[in-house]
Amino acid sequence: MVEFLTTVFVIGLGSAMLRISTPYLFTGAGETLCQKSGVINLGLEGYMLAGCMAGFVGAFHSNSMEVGVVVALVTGMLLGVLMGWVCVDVGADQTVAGLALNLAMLGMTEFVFKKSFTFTYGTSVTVPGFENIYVPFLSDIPIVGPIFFQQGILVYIAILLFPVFWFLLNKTGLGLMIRACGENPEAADTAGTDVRRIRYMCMIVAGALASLGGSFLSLAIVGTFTVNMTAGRGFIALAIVMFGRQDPLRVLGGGFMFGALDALQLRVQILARYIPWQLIAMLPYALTVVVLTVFVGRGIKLPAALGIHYEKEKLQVE
Amino acid sequence: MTSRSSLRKTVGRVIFGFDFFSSIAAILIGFVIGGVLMTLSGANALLAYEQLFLGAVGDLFGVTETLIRTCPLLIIGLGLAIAFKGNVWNIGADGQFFFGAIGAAGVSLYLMDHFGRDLGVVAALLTLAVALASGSGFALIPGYLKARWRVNEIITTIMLNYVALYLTQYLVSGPWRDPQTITFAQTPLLMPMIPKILAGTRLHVGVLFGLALVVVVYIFMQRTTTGFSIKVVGKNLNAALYAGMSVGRVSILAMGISGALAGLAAWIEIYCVQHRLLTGLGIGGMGGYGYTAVAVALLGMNNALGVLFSAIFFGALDVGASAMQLRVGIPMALVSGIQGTMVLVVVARAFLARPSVIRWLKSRRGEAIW
Repeated sequence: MVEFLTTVFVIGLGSAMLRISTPYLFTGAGETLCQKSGVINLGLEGYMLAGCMAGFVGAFHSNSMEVGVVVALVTGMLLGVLMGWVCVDVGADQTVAGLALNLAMLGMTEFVFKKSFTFTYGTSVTVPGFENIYVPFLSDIPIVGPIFFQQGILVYIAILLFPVFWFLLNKTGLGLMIRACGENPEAADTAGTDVRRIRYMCMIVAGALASLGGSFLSLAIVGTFTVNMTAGRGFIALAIVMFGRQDPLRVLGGGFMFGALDALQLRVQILARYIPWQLIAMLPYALTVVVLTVFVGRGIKLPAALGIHYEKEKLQVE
Repeated sequence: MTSRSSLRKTVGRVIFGFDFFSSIAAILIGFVIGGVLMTLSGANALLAYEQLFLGAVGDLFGVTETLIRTCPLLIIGLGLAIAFKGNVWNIGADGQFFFGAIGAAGVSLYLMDHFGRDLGVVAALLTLAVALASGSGFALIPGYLKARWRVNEIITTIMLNYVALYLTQYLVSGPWRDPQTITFAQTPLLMPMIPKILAGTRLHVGVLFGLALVVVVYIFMQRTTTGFSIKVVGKNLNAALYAGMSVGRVSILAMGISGALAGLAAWIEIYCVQHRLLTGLGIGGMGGYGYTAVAVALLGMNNALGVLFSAIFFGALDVGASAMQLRVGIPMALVSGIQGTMVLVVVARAFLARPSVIRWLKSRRGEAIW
């Protein structure tokens, strides 16, 4: 067992962990914000899948990764507006609305992808991926350098989001308003906060980030799109946010943990060929259940108004 | 009042009720959005819908295939409707379906090893019992976790779907693999085979099971104390607690029932349709039957009769979709997208409740009494 723990193995595992956790990080960051404002997004999987497809189609046709990222962001924002309307304005059940979005996106992404690719280009189309950025000096540190400071730009952005969101939520007036909407929307409303606007904003940010996270999967990790590519990652991201108790820094830790697990699982599949790969591949999913059971559940303080629709009282003028 | 006019009254109340109206609106909106997408992609939407319709119900083959497709959606959807009514969000029917299938297939393989291929009614009942038990048992894991530690069942059920799928994949490509099929990973033919009920088609007895279950589930939800307590827990948690109902018991029960029905659907798929265990078992339009059945239950407003109609409708759409793909070249995934859109509209149906709409429905309901 020990002979696997060479420098090369550790570096490979570490940098794979970072890459694999990036979709979780983007998605989890947005969802943290969203849940803090009192909206639970069961449609993360749908956003991710949409971004995954849109980002790839955009990057392939424009021959530019940046355009792909922008297309994914815009797609996610549009879906965020749609879900904002459904959950904030119409006041639909947030759980069911999210599930419905996932179902719709599963079919829509396959349709759009097949319509724009399979019949034209065949199935094997890929994009080049992002170039790695070598952070000066830091990337030269042995082991830590290659793992943390020789990654693509999106990986850095994903990680930096968390201190930014932590600061936003805990140290700014806007953050206070967001948290108030999640804890006690009536009080926030009385104090002059536009609950609808705050929640809409959080939904749109969550949509954009989840979609960006999804696009990282197709653009950077795999280089192509396949049907139902996200394979439950949106729900793992949701589990990570719950594990992190909506605290950005804990969510970051949770994202790394799941990324490490996935990276390790992929390596064990290759190293331990005598174990059937299917049994190893199911481990991250099984462990999500275990982690949720052990770390989440009883005794966790969720935002008090999480998942509850808030409607501003209308003035009755007769 | 004669019974006929009271029937008319009931029908009028349902048809001009808001739920029915919004389901129809959702279906229309779904088709319109699908049509717009097809037109944008340069296809003839009307031609595609025509082929979809003809493929689903245009001939005897289409109709029987639609019914065969309806069967698992209906049975799983009924179970999910019970769970959803109790606010138990079981999205794991797909995994419970596969776990039921694994249990039944295991028993079949064991029996075939020990008693040969000539298995009869006892073996059929035994496999059925095991399918129900293992489907239900797999659902009890998230049910128990929710009841005991309030672990979010949506996430756990979805995670367990992947566990069941990988386990199936392992079994059919490893220990249970049929040595005679090289290209496909699947088990050998599983005995006993349940005979077809209409010569020349694949129509099987499971469809009758499904129809009978509609009645059973309707009575269970409307006329029994257990069904009532599920509804109360779903509708008003505080009232349920105040009345001394055990919320944990309801979530375990709802999970168990929906898991058992997913197991039943799997048993029917194996012994009446495929006669093998393979990962392609239960793959419909939107991926697994377990996922499509979520949409079926939601579109049917979690009501037994509603689920019957939406299962037939989705079954027809799925069958029609393959005809459409074959004849017009529109990827059948579009139909999954349309189905999801319809569910989204149903979920957000409150936006349809404009004063003018409500007024119109009320006036029609008044006329419907005759």
